[in-house]
Amino acid sequence: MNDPRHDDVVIDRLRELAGRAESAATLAAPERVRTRGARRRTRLRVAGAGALTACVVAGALWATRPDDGAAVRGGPAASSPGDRAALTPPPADAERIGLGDPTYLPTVRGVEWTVEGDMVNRPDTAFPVRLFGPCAATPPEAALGGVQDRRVTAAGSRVKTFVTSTWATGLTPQAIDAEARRIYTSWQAVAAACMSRVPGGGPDTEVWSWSGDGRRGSVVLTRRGHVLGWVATEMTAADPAYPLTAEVGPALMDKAILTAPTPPR
Amino acid sequence: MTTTSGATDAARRAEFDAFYLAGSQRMTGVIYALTGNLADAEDAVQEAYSRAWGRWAALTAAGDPTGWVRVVARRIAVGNWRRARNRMRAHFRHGEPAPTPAISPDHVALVAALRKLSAGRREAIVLFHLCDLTGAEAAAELGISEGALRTRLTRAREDLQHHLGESARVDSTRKETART
Repeated sequence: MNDPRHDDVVIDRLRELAGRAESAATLAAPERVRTRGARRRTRLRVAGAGALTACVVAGALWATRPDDGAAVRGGPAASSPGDRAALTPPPADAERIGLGDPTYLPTVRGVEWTVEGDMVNRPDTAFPVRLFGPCAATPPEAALGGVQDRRVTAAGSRVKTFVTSTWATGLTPQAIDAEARRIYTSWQAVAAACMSRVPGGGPDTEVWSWSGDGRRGSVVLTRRGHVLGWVATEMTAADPAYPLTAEVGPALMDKAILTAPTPPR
Repeated sequence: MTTTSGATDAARRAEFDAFYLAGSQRMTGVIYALTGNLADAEDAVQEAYSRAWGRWAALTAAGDPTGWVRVVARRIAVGNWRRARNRMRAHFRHGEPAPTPAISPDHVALVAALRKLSAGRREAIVLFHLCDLTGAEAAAELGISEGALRTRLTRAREDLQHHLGESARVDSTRKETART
């Protein structure tokens, strides 16, 4: 049985503890809290739009899936051409979205990429999609929906592509652009923390490189309006050199025009 | 029209700022008692207020948003605390970090004792004794009956006294050993 006097002592100590923490607390200014709230709301909208994007991209790719089904993941409900047609956007849309073939990647003799598992045009909403090497510890941008594509070589080298869009219903064109810039800047910060910048590129395309643990790799960050993406490699010593160049950026953007390519006016 | 809208926005911002400035320090103290980590408490409180701003109109239309912010901050803090446990264990290998600067050994012992309570008991004691909620209000916020709250409070106080007694015994043994 507790002595109530001891209870009072403990509760008084608890109150004192909380009081000291109140005094020691350093809280942000209210305007910063409001900004954080507004940014969070925008991010949620963007993530929602990203999820929608991913769904439509995945659906569109069902329509363009090769008959042998080897390259692109499909579902049993979409097994017949008729079913696929009923489930997917018109082929004209399918032509212009997705990353179905990696034509944006450079061709290097001796480097043969094959799809890693079912990771082609993989729509994911539970991100982060991480870079390789020393940058793998820091996710470029959490909770961002989009599409990713992963390929490997027989020798264990890997290439990973991620594309997303900040297009979102209800956001102004300025907000869409600002969010794309913000994300691109956050990616730059991640790369700058763990890689070396390769000269070249431009304001919206940058190349970074890294090496360590017997591997080396490159990353291309790129943006075009509300669409932004990156390509990252991790090459083993058994594969030839495979440096990515700034040209990969525009090639990826040409390829990766996602759904809803026209921002609201 | 634009002027009216601008004035309304300014009024909402001012209302939020006043609400934040009036309650955030106290809320941090409460959440600190739950987590035992001042930085986590500050972050949880700031995140809860920022979420409140995202739905400010709806929250104020429903009445005083304090309860909503407290519930959100509490959930964030407890969630973070659970996620951080494994990470903390790794940190503890290098020595547990001081919970907050300028806190006496007594307070360190109290924080350690609070940490030993289950999350449910800790929440009960903090809501009832620090937030000055009535039994009915605290029970409602925790989604339990008043009887269950009373049980939690009794056990929480017993546990606290037990852990604090343990800590005092260890402390006095150390002092005795040092003196001999």
